[in-house]
Amino acid sequence: MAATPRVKLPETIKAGETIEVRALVRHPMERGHRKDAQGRTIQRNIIHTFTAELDGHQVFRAKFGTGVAANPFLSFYVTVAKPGTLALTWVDDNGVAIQTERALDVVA
Amino acid sequence: MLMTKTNDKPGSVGRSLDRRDFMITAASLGVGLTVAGALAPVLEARGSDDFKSTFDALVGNASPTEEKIKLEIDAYVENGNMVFYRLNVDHPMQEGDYVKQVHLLSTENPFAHVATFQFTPQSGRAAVAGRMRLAKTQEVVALAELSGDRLYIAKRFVKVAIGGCET
Repeated sequence: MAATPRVKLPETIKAGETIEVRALVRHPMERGHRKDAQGRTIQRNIIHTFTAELDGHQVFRAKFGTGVAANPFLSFYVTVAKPGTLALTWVDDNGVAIQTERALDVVA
Repeated sequence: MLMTKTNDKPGSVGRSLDRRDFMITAASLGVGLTVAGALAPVLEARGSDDFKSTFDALVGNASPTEEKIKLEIDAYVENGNMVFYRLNVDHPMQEGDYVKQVHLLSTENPFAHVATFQFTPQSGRAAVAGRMRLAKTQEVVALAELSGDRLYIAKRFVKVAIGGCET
């Protein structure tokens, strides 16, 4: 069910540069007051937390409410001092965590 | 003065005087309201009850300043299900002096809280972009919290053709 997130990073990163990270994940972001074909309320299930960790150290975090659109897209920034690993995690109301990692190569 | 006129028979003179007195009273009352309005906090919470309580809980007794934040959303959107926003807080991100978090609030959605973005000095820039839902035409509010509990606010009025929350 959990689709692979799409992450876009700059092609090259210089040491100390602040880069834009663009991340998209597929998720219905179900608000919890829609009805299905049988008229039953569809239970709320949204991604409520997104975290970005650089080498295990949290650099950015977002808390989402029902007002975030389906298939949440997010652009944010990270300062990359040295080569490392960027780990992104999305967690929804059902406790499902979608995770992905990207190696950050730094050019001299 | 107003009271003495009320017992007059409904003649044209009496009525016009009544009306005149009423207008004078209303005008002076209006002036009074304007003065009271000017004394009230400029950035009072306006919107749904949920927005007001959410906003008050975040702001408390503080009065956020309307600067530093650039909140970009199209003034007119066709589809409230997917409204692109971009926000940027113009402030350096250094240890001990940085933008801690930015709250994105809708004033007329069923749930006011849209998102909260928490930054660190390693974020480098307090800037985000994404897509939000807007149930109807309304004002969107961004509230930035800097270290040292300084608050900044930005507002953007967005006209929505087809709402994105009630369906």
